[in-house]
Amino acid sequence: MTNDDICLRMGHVIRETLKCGPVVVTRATQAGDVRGWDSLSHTMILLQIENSFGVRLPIERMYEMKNVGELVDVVAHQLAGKGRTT
Amino acid sequence: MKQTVLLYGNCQGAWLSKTLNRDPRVQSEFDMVFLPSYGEIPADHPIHRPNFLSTCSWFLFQVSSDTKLPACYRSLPKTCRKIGFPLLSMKLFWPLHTLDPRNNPEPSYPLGRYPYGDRLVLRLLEQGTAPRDVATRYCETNLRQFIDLDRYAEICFAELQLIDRKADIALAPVIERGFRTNRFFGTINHPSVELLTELTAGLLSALLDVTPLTVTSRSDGYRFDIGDLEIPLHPQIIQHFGLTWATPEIRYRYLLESLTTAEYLHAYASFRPVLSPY
Repeated sequence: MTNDDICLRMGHVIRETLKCGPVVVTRATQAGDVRGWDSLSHTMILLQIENSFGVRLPIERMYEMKNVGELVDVVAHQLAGKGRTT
Repeated sequence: MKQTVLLYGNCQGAWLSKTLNRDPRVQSEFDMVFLPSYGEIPADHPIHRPNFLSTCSWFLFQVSSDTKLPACYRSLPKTCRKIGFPLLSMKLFWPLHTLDPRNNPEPSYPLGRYPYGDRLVLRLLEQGTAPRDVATRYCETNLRQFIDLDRYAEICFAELQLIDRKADIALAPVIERGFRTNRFFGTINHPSVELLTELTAGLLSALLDVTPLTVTSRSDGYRFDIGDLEIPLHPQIIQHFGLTWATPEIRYRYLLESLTTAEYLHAYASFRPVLSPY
């Protein structure tokens, strides 16, 4: 799975979790760009990303990522290595 | 001469500022100024005075997992003592929390009728469930189909611990120890007076240079002073985490009404206007 594929699927997960309508999610997207993506919904988005990709995100990185691109890179790293749950 | 304390935070910060100001020792030694982290800062706020920041001896600020300090932070004098206190939230109880697209401010509902939306209710409505049937179907839905509750709890508590590490006052251990038996939260971001009192004690001990044990910390039980909404929990959350305070008889205050879980879900699903004081 390429990083672009991950980003596409991540966009779907974010839209489904937040029910925020047809917002376009790119690597540059930040939480503030998406309606409903605030600190209260962030944890659920991360959990749904874990479920969707079958990975465990490192907790110490969960709250320091600045945009979707960084999240994509973390998922890609987990998919390639140790972070897989399945 | 009194020392100026600038306290920065959300509605929890406003509550802390007011409560600290009631303490006679604080009144005699400090001038407490609250700086809201939300909305517009009023034109007559002291922060707009040219030399105000240079007079601040203390900066008490709310810490979250992604703390953004106000621009004025850099203008505080080097001698200003800075104390971070944790932003309190309880995502664990409301994993389905979301913004409801139907919700908009109205004259009688400044935050909208239902500022705390629920993804499962919205999904049931999308699937064509009649509002009168939502409560039953909601309670029957197995959350484990789409949420790993134990992993969710792990992440929620890790965030509380992360906030504690960034702050000077730690409350995660209090929450983790007591959330099963104490009703610490009325909504995802509104803690009880009991929990806020713990935070007040921590701030008092910092300001007055006393150990928390010597601070008079009075518990007022599970009263909710911030906001006038309490949101029911999904029964599976109550069962899975063994929340003994959430008894079957529990009613939830919603503006001027007191609702059971089923009554609340029916009202929310149908977007009924609840009796409002506004």
